[in-house]
Amino acid sequence: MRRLLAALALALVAAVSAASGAAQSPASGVPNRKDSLKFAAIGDNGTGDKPQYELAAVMSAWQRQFPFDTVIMLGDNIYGGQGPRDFVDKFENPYKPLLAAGVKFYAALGNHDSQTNRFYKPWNMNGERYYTFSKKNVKFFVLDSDYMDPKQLQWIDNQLKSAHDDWKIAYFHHPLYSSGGRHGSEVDLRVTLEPLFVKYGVNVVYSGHDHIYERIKPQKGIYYFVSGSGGQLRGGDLKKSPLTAAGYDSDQTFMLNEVAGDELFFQVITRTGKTVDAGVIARQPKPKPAETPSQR
Amino acid sequence: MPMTLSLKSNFAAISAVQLICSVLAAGQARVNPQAEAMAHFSERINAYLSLQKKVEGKLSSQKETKDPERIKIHIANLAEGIRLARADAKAGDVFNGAAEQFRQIIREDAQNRSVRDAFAAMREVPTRTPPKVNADYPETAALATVPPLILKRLQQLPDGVEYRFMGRDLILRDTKANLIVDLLPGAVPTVGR
Repeated sequence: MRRLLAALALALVAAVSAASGAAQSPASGVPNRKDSLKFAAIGDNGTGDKPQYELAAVMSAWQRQFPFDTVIMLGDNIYGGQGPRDFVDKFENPYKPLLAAGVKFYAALGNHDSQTNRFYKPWNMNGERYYTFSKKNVKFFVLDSDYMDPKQLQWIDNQLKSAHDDWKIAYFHHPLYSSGGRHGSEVDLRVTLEPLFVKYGVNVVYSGHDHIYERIKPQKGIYYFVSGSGGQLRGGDLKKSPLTAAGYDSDQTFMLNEVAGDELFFQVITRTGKTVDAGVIARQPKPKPAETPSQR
Repeated sequence: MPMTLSLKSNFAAISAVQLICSVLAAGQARVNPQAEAMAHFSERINAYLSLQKKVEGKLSSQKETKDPERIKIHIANLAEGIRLARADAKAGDVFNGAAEQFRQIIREDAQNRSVRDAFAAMREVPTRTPPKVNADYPETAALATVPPLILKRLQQLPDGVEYRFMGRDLILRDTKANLIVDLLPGAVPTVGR
């Protein structure tokens, strides 16, 4: 009975927070619980410039106290030249301490990435433009939003349909919702992907492309983050809109995330170590399976 | 009655001719020239992919590696092999008879977009280097997103080639060799400000 009440309470919190458009915002950020899944998120990071290195140093410092073992890369992992030297200057050197600590990076491709970078082993893409991987009670769906052809769409449909993990997290480069002045929401992509995300109960979506941080008010029950200032920054480009739950565009940022049971905690940190957003998302109830004709 | 027999045989001959004509006419009516042009386009794509496979077969396979140099060498060798094998390729060889259909799909898509949306779709399309058949897609240029709603309408391509825009041109790009396979100049209509 207690379990039932707890489940009902959790469902109520999820429904209320989804309806109100806000994640709960504890001041403390990620709780650093034992046995939780801890991961960081960076987007548009591969510049090889000083701010990328400085932010990477802050990530490393955090990793020592909040031992995340996974980094999801939201695309534009290498800007400009895609030669061997670029991989060293724009990835291996800035994240050397994290790589040395055994942290694994899982990349999505952005419009500045060569598609053949999927063969670069430290990005764990298994030679694929789009792929999935699982960690604890979470399944990640990594998409190539730069070329969303019918074949990839069919693949996503099949993957989402057959996934039964507690959490379904999708990430890719182009945001379905964004208040970035430079790019904004990718409407074509939204029309194409959102119905699948709703149908199969995707919980959270991370993207980059706009060089800002923005937390979007839940859309059709799904939480969206734009985290595209992991190296690049377009200062002042966040044009706050009715979509915006929170945002920041004055410095480079990365995200810390922690999935503990039915809660996902997040914390957004700048180059100076300042926390500019934090909160917790209660896992949404799974969508009811579609009614078949015999059930009518 | 020879007269009757002759008439009967004439009627029979005429009926047979009519039957053959109607069968031929029906056969002709069944051929959709647009579908035929697109079928030929697919054949040319498959021929290109056979060539790509043949050239790649002579190289060590592209595998996951910690060494980006090896990835780069594979791409360069594959591109060089393909360039040599189709040294006489020229613009329009692959799009050929299907070109007008591609133009129409892109034109219709542009008409269904707001000016703002059309600009947004083309914002990151590289414009500095005009595309050239058998040239590398410029390494430092962004791979501008092809809007999914256009991809949905264009003939689906097998793995190994893809559509991209460069300037106002639609190109076919070899995804393994980073090579421009063919181009369709001025496929994107101009959008008024």
